[in-house]
Formats: sequence, structure tokens, C-alpha cells
Amino acid sequence: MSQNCALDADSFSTLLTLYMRRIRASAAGVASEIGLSREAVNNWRNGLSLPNPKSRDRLLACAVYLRLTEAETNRLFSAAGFEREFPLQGEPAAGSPFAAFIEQVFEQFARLTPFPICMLLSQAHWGQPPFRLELLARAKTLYGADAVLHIQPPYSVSTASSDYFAAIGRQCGFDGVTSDYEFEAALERRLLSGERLFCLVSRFEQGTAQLRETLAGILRSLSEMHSCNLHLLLCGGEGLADLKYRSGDLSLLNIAHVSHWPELALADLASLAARRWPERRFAAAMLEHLLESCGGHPALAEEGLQWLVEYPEADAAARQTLHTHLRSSARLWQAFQPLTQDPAARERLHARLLADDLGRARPYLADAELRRLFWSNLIAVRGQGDSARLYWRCEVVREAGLQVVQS
Amino acid sequence: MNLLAGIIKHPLARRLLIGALTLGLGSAILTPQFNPFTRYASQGIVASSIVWNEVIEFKRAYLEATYANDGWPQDLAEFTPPPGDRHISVVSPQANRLLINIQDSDDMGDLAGTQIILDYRPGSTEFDCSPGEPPIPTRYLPSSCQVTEDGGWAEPEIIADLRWLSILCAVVVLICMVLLLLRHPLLSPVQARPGNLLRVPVAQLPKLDRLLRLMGRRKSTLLAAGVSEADWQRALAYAQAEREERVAPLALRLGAQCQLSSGWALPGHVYEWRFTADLPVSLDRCLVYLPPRDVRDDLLVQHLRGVQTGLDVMLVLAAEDSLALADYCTDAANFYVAVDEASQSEWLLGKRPVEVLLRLLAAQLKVTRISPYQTRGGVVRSGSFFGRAQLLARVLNREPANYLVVGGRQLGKSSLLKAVQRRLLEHPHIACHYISLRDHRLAPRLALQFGLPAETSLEQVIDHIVAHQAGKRLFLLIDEADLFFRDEAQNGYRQLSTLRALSEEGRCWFMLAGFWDLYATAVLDYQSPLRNFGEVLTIGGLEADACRELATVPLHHLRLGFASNALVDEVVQASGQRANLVAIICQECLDALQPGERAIERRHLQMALASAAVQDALAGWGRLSHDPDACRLDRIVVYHTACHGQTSLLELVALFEAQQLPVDMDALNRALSRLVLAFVLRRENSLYRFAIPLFALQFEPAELQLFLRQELQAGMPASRAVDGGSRG
Repeated sequence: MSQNCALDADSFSTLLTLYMRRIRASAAGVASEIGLSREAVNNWRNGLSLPNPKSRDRLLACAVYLRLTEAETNRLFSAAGFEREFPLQGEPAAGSPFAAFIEQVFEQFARLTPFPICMLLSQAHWGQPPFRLELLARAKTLYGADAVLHIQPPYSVSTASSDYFAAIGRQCGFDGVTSDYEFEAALERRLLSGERLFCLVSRFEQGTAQLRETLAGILRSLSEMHSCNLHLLLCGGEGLADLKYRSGDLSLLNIAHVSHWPELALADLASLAARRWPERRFAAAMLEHLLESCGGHPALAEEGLQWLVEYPEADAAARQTLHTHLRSSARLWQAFQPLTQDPAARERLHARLLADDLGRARPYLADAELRRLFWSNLIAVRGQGDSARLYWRCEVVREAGLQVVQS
Repeated sequence: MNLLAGIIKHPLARRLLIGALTLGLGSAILTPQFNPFTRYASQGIVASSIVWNEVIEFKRAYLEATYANDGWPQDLAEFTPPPGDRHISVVSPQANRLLINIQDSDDMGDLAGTQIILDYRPGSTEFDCSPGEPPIPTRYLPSSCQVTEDGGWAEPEIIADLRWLSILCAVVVLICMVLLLLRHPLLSPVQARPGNLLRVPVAQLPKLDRLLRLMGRRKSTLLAAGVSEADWQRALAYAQAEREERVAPLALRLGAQCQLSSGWALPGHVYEWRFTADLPVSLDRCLVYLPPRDVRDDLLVQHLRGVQTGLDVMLVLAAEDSLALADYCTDAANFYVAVDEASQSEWLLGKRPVEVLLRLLAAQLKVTRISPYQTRGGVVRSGSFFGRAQLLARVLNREPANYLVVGGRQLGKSSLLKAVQRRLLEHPHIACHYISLRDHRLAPRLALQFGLPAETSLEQVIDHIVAHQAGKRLFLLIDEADLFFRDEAQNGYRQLSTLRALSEEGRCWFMLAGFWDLYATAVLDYQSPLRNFGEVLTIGGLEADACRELATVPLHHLRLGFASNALVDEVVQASGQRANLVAIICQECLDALQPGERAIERRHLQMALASAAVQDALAGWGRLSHDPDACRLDRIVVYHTACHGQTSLLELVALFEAQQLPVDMDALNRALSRLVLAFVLRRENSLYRFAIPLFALQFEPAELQLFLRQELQAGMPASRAVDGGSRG
């Protein structure tokens, strides 16, 4: 009985019901947000069906709408029979991967005075922000636990301003906030006391444009009036980049310094492997081969590590098998699938899959399809400055894409 | 003289000379009998006592004879003391007179062969003595024998000699003292170059003060060093103060706020300084560590290694200069900066203490940690604001009026407003406030800023501010006003009418800054009530000279610079004189500098121009309006300009006609105006080119035609490209 209960607690329907109830979301609301029928959502809730493997993007939209953390998203995805969306997220530990980059992110604030505002952009499967616990832990060390705020704007387009800022106020530990001005006043009170605050805003692009603009305005205004004392780290992906480069109205983003989450390096991969499977030793050569095969794609890297746990052999045949295993990743298939719906788009994608060089990398890609490929983490930037170019992340990705196009 | 100088220069000869002089002088004083120069006089002194003993013996004998004979005896021989080892012979050439002849031998020194005359005074027991022939040196005569011509006692020669000797000694001592003072390791460098006074270690200042007083040169030295008496006294007080009392005077010199910081796992005290916006580098605050006096150097470094300073720079004021600490702090990987004692003196005595701090920071930290450039947002540091003199003069040298500041994003609107605010800060008749709007709501923003409820009306807010300004005229600088104008345009300019009424009543004037919504309303819309609201100030590129200053002056603060003026001109040219781009390029040049490099060279500049930061600064032009159609038209114009290097209204019309798309000349003109205002394009007669040469480099020629085609095919008839903000 207890086992059944445990199984039930982790079932997709139970989790979905729990997460929906938490934010008082209705089936109709979820359905309209993710583009499915209300019946389909109700079937999920009642345990009558599970999400279709082709609907990974819709499940992701659902997780975003339900304001799930990376861990909760992973749990929901696993319950739905999907691979985890943020596979490399874990508990903070000593000697964490990307520790040097995280250190660098914080060092940047020191030189960004008088407006220490930083945007941290990351591609798909990295989480927003990646390694949030590590970032927060480091922030608490540097600023003091009380001076670290974590804001995750509510997603729903239907949220009223009062609810939106009440939710954000609660995240910051401000009780009784019922309006944007009250939130601003509460935050300002802390700044006026001479405190230096670090504020991590994840998934900034969530919520309605109007509420987002109000929040951006508050943060910009406080940053202006209390320059140097409010350190802002805005984390996000494609949506946040769109807001910065395509919508000039948010001067908060205009004056923000942009950082991109770095590519996965061998040391980071080894560190991740050691953290996930502490009792196991991975052959360095095999990790190197895995990194080359997955091209630094976090989800492929995680799948590869799992495969290495099961098949620790390091011979040529094993490498080929690993390559084949990664190429058949459901994540790749799910990422390419939406790009092949339109025949013309499918043709352009095919042409791109045959090309070695996908063009020049820029802070913001003008071509919408390239932009989609980039933020889906299928292509990567190689090179620095004006010599930076776009390439397929790895041969595995390209081969998977060709398979999808030709299927 | 030259020979002596030559000998002095040669170490061995110098030692020999010093040895010989020491031997000569030492033997003359301690063993004069062995010194060839003093031996004769020394023997004379020894012999004089023998001679005078014998003289007294003879005098006594002859006095007894005189008493016995009731007068001077005829024959002295029978009264002569028995002969022995005599050194004198006595004869009486006449009554009452004795001639004392001193034996002429080597052991008598300079008494040898001389004569003394003794004259008996009848009826008394006294003899008068005087030098004979040859005369005995007067210094050997007793005082009773030295009678002056007027009958008084003559001063013995030895006394006069001693006096002269004393005077000589005093003079010699005095000269030696002066020489010692002049050659004093503290005083000598200061006397040679008074400017060195500023770099004397702070602990030595009281001693130096005593020495200067002793020399009577304190005032003149301070004057020559450019140190005021008050500063000198403060520095002396600092040097003698308890260690805990030392932090505040240093902070005061920088105008920094100082407060004790607690919770540190460090022995001693840690303070926090908050700097004013005048500090020309990106350092808003720092920590100051005052270790205990008795902590060992190696332990101090160990403590510092173990402590977590976060993002803050920590100045370490050690009790004494320590090599271990200096070595550790020189490692640019940490955020520690050792403040040595000489720098503390300069900090307290110099006219520019900020430069001392900057020099220490630049020497011990990564240059990028204390960047002197502000690359984003309105410039808040007065030292980082350059140019715009004409615009500022137009605002500041007139009676208060309303102004509308228009210009593209990141072009310097906020910087101009903040510069106006800084200059009016202490104005006796104008109270100036800067407000950054975060949305369209002006009144609640103002109300909250001045501590009023959000629902207070605009008039009431202004009344409240005026009432608290004690007769000063109110000048409000309102930044980020685009959303306000957009909302006003949609709602019949209700609040704008209030602003106009307030300024017509002379209660308050406004300076509003914005981009396209403001420009379109104020300049392009002939029906807009904003047209006569105030003077329009358009913000464009910075003056070329100001750009050069912006590039070079901040570097000078850190004792860095460009390798040549041509490179500076290249920066100015590549940036199109856009102020924040100049700052970004220079910042990237700084990033490219390797440790130890002090000059920015061409390779650094090339790296900077190709950097991601510069690319990023050029991005974001794709949406200059909130109207998607207008944005698409902007992109078509930009891609067309990039394809051909330039464009014109006629060429654009031809482009649309070639695609069989209808053309809205008004929308096209607006797009060109918008791109010029945003500093994307620059108009030259009827042609438009990129305002920033670097801008063209962000496009890949192969992609341009594709992008242009995509935008044209996106179903965007030019006739639909209407800017909503401007139409209300």
C-alpha cells in the first residue's frame, strides 16, 4: 500500500494536479497557455493519458506556466516518461562545475558600477539560470544570506498586477505587498538602509508584457536612484534576449551587461559525472569522446553519462554505439520536430544541415530560424568577437536533424 | 682639493686617511708624549711641575737666608739647597733678583734652555716672576707671575688658549651638527627636493618635524613642498594617533563615508568606506583593514588568505611596511591593496589624495577591476563626463525654461540631465531634482520620490516640493519619458497641460528626456501641444575633442595611455563619436592589456573593435518604435544602406516600386528620421550613411540580400507603416 502511495505521489497526474492546485490554475487556463484542449489536460490530470512524445515543447510550456523550478520540471518530465529537461541540475557541492564562470559572473558586478546589472543568457536544457543553487549559494557567501533575493515572476498572462507583485513581494520576504508601488517602496526601504542587495531574477520574460515592464521599470528606477547598491542578475533564454534586442522600451535591459552561459568543458563534464555518480570512476578518454560527441549539449552529455554508467567499455565499438545512442536521443528529435512542420522551412533546414558553416554569430541573430536553432541548443558559437561563427553543435545533432528531415 | 676628492672616492685610500687621522688625533689626546706633534709640549708640561717644585725649594731657601741676614745675602751659595738631580740652575746677578735657568735637555720639552726672573719684594715673602731670556713660555708661568702693565693680574695664556679651544670646539661641534643635520637621511632628501616631503614614511613625520624646527626651515620647506600648515599638523596628529583613529582622517581626505564593519574573522578592525560619485573609477565602496600593531607579517598574510572579502577591494593599513604583505597584495588575482607608509603621507599631505589611491589600486589590482570608463547608463561621475558644453551652456546660462531632450538610446540623454543636476546642485536660487520614470505615471512617481502618497495630484506634489525649497525655483529633470509621452498622446495630453500651466505660472520648469515618442510628438506632429512646450535639444554624437578626452583622460588617472594620438583618432572615427561606444572600445582595450603593459597599441585596439562588447553595443537597432511595421521599415532601410553603403529617399522609393509595394512617403520619412535620431544613420545632403563606421561591419554581405528580401516579403506594405505614438 505504501509503495502504491509512493508511486502515486510521483505519477504524472498527481504531480500535475499538485502543481496546478498550488497556483490555482484551471485546466482551461493550462490548456489555453499550452495550446491543447481542456479535455486533453483533464485526461492528464485524471491519469487517463500521458503527454504525447511529440508534445515535449507543450509540456515545457506547461511547466513554465506552472512556475516550476528546474527540479520540479525534471520530476514532471520523468513522470511523463520524458527525459529530464534540465539534466545537469543538482545540489550545490564543493568543486562545482562552472565554478570559475560563476565567480566571473560575480566579479563582473564590481566593474559594472554604477549600474551593476547583468543578463545571463542560456540555451535550452541549461535551466534559467543554470546551476541556480550554486549561483545563489555563491551570492549568499559574497553578499550575506539576508541580502540575496530571488525573484521568479509569475508566468500567467491573466495574473493581476496586485497578485503579480504580491507573489514577487513574498519571494523577497515582503509581507502585505498589494501593488507595484508597495513592492518598490519595500525594496527601496532596504536599499535606503545602506544595504547592498543581490537580486537574481530568473525567467524574467515570464508574465504579461505590461507587468514585466513595470517590474523592469521598478528595478531600473531603483538601480538609478541607489546606484551600486542593487546588483541585478537577470537570467533567461530566448525570451529575455528578444526583450533586450528587439524591444528597446526596457532601458533596464539596455544598460545590462550580457553574459552567455559557457560551453561545457571536459573539466566541467568530469565534475558533473563525479557529482552525479560519486562512487564511479569514468575513463578520461571516454569522457573526452563523450564531450566531442555531444558537442557540449547538456542533455546529450547527461544521456551519454548514463550510457557510460551502463556500458563502461572504452573501445572503438563502444564509442560508435555511444554515437548512435546519442543520435537517437528523443530530445533532439523533439527539438527538430517543430522546425519541420512547414515544407519550406523543412527545405531550408535541410540545406542548413548540409552546410558546415551556418554564418556569422551576432549578439542577436536576425534570422528567426537560426535564432530558434540557437536557443534550442542545436547550434553553437565558435570563435571570438567578429570572427565568431555559427556551427552545428556536433555531428550527432546534424545527423539527428537529417534523420528528422528525411523521415 | 682634487687629490683629496680622489682619495675620498677611493675606498681603501679613504679608509687609510680616516685611520691616519684617527690615529693622529687619538694619540694627540690620549698619548701626547708619543705624538710627534704634541710630544714637545707634553714634555714641557711634565717638566714644568718639576721646575716649579725646584724653584719653590730655592725660593724657600733664599727667603730663610734673607730672614736670617736681615736682607738679601751676599753669597747665595751657602744657602743653596744641596745639589742633586737638578733641572735648574740659579744665579743672583744683583740683590733681590734670581735668574732661574732651566736645563737645556730634550726631556724638558719646550722649557729647555729658557729662563725665569724672580724679583724679591723686600719686607715680604713674595717674589715677582717674569720671563727671562730666552723667555719661558708664558703658559708655564703661574698666575701670580702674570701681571699686566697696569699692575693687575694678567690672564694666564693657558686660560686664553682654553677659551679659544672651547670656542673652536663649539664651532666644530656646531659645524658637525649642521653637517649631520644636512646629511641626515630624513632631512637631506627633503632639503634637496622639498617635494620628497610628501613621500616620507608617515611614522617619520614627527621626527622630520623636529629636525626641520631645529634647522629653522620648517616653514620654508612646507611652503616649497606645497603643504599647508593645517595639513602638516593633521598629518603629525595622524602619525601620533592610535591606530584606530587613523582611518577617519584618510577617509576624510577622499570625502568618503567611513563606518566600522563587523563580523570579520580578522584580528584588528575592518572599516567600510563609501566613495562619492566623483571618484573617477568604478569603485563605489571598499573595505579598510587595520591589523593590530603586533601581528607578524607572515601571519597577517595568512589571515588575508583565509578571509572572504566578497567583491570588495580591501585596503590594508599595516603598522609597518611589510615586504610579505606588499608581495601578496601585488598579486592582481586578489582584491587586497597594501597602503604603504609613504603613500599614507602623500595621501594626507598631497593636493590630490585620490590620485594616490588610484595609483595604489592600479598597481595592485587588475585594471579592469577599477575601470575608469562608464560604458552603460547615464554618467554619474563628474570625471567621466566630457563635452556637451554648448548644450549645457544653453540650459545653465539662461533663465529657467522647459527643455525636451531627444536622442537615441545610450547616446547621452541621461548623462546630460545628470550633468545639469550636478551643476545646479548648489545653485542659490534653483532647486533641481532628477527623476527617472519607470512607466507612464508621472504624478505617482514624483509623489513617492518626495514621500507623498501615490495618489497625490501633480499640482499638490509640485506645491509640496516648492514649499520645501525655501523660495528656490524648481527645475525637474524627468528621464525615460517616452512611455509618459505615449500615454499622453493617447489621452489628450492632460498631464502635459498641467506641466505647461505650472511653468507658465513660474512655479516649476521641466527638462524631459526621451527618444522617438517624444521626438515624434514634439517635432513631427504639428498639432501636438508639445511643440511650444519647450526648446528641443537633440543629442547626437559627442564633439571630437570631447571624444578624445573621454578616451584618454580616464586612462591617465591610472597612468596608462594610448601609444599614439593616431590610435585615439582611430577610436573616435570608428565609434562615429558615439560617447558610450568610445567608452566601450577603450574598456575593451584595457581588457586586452596584459599585466605590465601600460600603453594601448594597435593590436589592443583591433581586439577591442572585434570584441563581443562592441558587437553587442551595435545591436538592438531592430526595434526603435513600438509599432512592428515601423520597425520593419527601419530594418529595410538599414539593410538597403548596408547593401549599397548609402541610401536615399529616392532609392528607397525605387526599391519599393521594384517590389511592387505601395510607398507611404510619410512613413518612409519617419523611418529615416528615426534612424538618424537613433544615430544609426547620418544624413549628408540627400544621402544617408551609417553614423558609426563599425555599424556596417556587423552585416555579412551574403546575408544582406536575403534579409532585405525577407523583410520586403513579410507582407509589409510601406503604406501601413504608421507610427502609433506620433499619431496619438
